[in-house]
Amino acid sequence: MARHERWPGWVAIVLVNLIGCMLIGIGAGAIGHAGWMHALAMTGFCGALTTFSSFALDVALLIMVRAWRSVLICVGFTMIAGPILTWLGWQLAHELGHTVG
Amino acid sequence: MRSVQIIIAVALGGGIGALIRHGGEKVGHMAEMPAWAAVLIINVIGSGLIGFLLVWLDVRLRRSGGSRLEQHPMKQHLSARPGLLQPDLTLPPTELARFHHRLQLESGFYMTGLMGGLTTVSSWSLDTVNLLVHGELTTAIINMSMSLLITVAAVLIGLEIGRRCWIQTTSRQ
Repeated sequence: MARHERWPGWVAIVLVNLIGCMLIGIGAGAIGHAGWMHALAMTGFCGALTTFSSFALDVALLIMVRAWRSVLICVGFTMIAGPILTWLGWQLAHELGHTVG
Repeated sequence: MRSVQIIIAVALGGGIGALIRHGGEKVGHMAEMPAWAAVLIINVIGSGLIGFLLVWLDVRLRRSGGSRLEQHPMKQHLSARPGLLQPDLTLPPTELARFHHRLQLESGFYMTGLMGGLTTVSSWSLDTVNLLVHGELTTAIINMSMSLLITVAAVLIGLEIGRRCWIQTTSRQ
């Protein structure tokens, strides 16, 4: 089925992981590192939204078929753009001054 | 009704996975382990398990073909199971639909839910940013490179264990 899709499956995983990276950055800036809101929004929601196992599985399967360009895009976006988005989210929350605890 | 069952399976698995991760992070904290190391260990365990689960679920329940194991270099060992790489045409459509639903339900619970909830890119990303912000560049690079290398290696090991288990099971039959 995946072969007939417009986008390969790993693109969706990358996008979801990037959204989660941005959201956890906003959460870190707005909520802080403790309390029930941290557990709910960051450990629970962002943690469950993102997945390292599916990302690693996608990379392993792409390596098997030697799809090096896809490997590079998948790894680059997740492991470079991910932390950049987290940092941007963190800065954004600080700029907006929404720190609640 | 069937899609509701799958949504419940994913939600249940995701909740359990996230709770296990939370527990793992607490244990790591009590063992005075840095936060990034605890997340790394959890991600490696989840990656190994997802590799095993892909084989375990596909060989048991896939009858309509199109397995992602088609990409596995050792697929000739797995293609002996009808329905894995190509649809099993010996089965009636109702049986195919039953297997398909069962596969979606179990992969929704174990892979999307449990492993998705257990492992995390967001916490890994936040830990990496924390390390960089605090000037721990070497540790951040170690966290980034080790996370990639060890998790991908864990997936490959998981796939191989799953394949060997499958070969052992079929040779006994």
